[in-house]
Amino acid sequence: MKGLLLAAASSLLCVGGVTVLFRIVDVPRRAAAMLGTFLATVPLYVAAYALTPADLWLLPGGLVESRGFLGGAFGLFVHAALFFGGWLQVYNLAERGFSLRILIDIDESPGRALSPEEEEAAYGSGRGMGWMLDKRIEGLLSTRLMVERDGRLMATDKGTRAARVFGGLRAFLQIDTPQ
Amino acid sequence: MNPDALGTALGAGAAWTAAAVVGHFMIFHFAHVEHRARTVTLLFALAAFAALWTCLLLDIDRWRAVYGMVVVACSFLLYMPFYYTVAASQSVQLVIEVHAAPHGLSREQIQRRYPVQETLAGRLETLAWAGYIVGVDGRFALTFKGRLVSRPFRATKKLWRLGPGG
Repeated sequence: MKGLLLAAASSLLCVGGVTVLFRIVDVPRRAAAMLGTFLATVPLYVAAYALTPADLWLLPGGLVESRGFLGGAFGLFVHAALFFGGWLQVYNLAERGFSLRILIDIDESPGRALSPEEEEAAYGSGRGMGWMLDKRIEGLLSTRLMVERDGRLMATDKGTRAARVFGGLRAFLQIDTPQ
Repeated sequence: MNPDALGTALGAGAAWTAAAVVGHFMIFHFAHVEHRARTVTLLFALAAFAALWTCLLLDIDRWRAVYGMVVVACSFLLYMPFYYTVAASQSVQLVIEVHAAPHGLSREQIQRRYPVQETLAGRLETLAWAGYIVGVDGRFALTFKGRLVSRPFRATKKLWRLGPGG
């Protein structure tokens, strides 16, 4: 139980740190900044686990772990899952979610309703739908999965490996179209 | 109390998580699955209850038995983003298509492959089917479920000073 409680505290500390960071600094690479904040909380978690008593001054005997290392590793796994599967996904959805952007555009429109044509123009706070595709292409270029040569986009070695892995997984799982 | 109760509970959680992943791959490979996300969620829910059942069967105390479920739940949190990246990421789709084209693709060719109106119409249809939006006089409005998703994310975007996103 000590590992779980410290993981929950570390997770809250992490999201608190991210919030303060995003509010006071203009961060160009936000996902990397979030990862850095998470990594900074890992040694804090380890130190807190090592330096506090097994019962955390409050736990009943039945909830105290006799195998401290395993309890600590379990807490660290929970902390990592809350970050990579929780906070980082909240960020990814808020920053890149196509469906979510549509819902927000409708919610922010004056009449709280949009036709498909209005949504096409309003998408991304008025940037339009064409911007969405450009944003993804620029993302793939900046992560060096693709390069642009003579006006054509080509897969790099890294992109080729990614295409083979993801294409293979899609074929095995019989996924043809995004759902 | 069994001194190795924690190890047994975590092991049960890990084993049933592995079973859920293998089950996912087998089912999707050999059957045509219509509700894909729902199926993966169901597999992990079954794995969580199987972990609990295994622990109780092995006389693990209730608290540690719940830890087995926590392992499955955390694995689910990590697995779903991976699954969605494979299944639905437009960036992944783009890389696959560019790689498949012998001489690459121009931006114009990509734009032709992803016509804006069809992409948007498809997504609006999916959102309506899932109950997030409803069509009223040729326009789409949010349902209660849609507002339930939109509002917290609007607040998060404001709190974290994020851009328009999408």
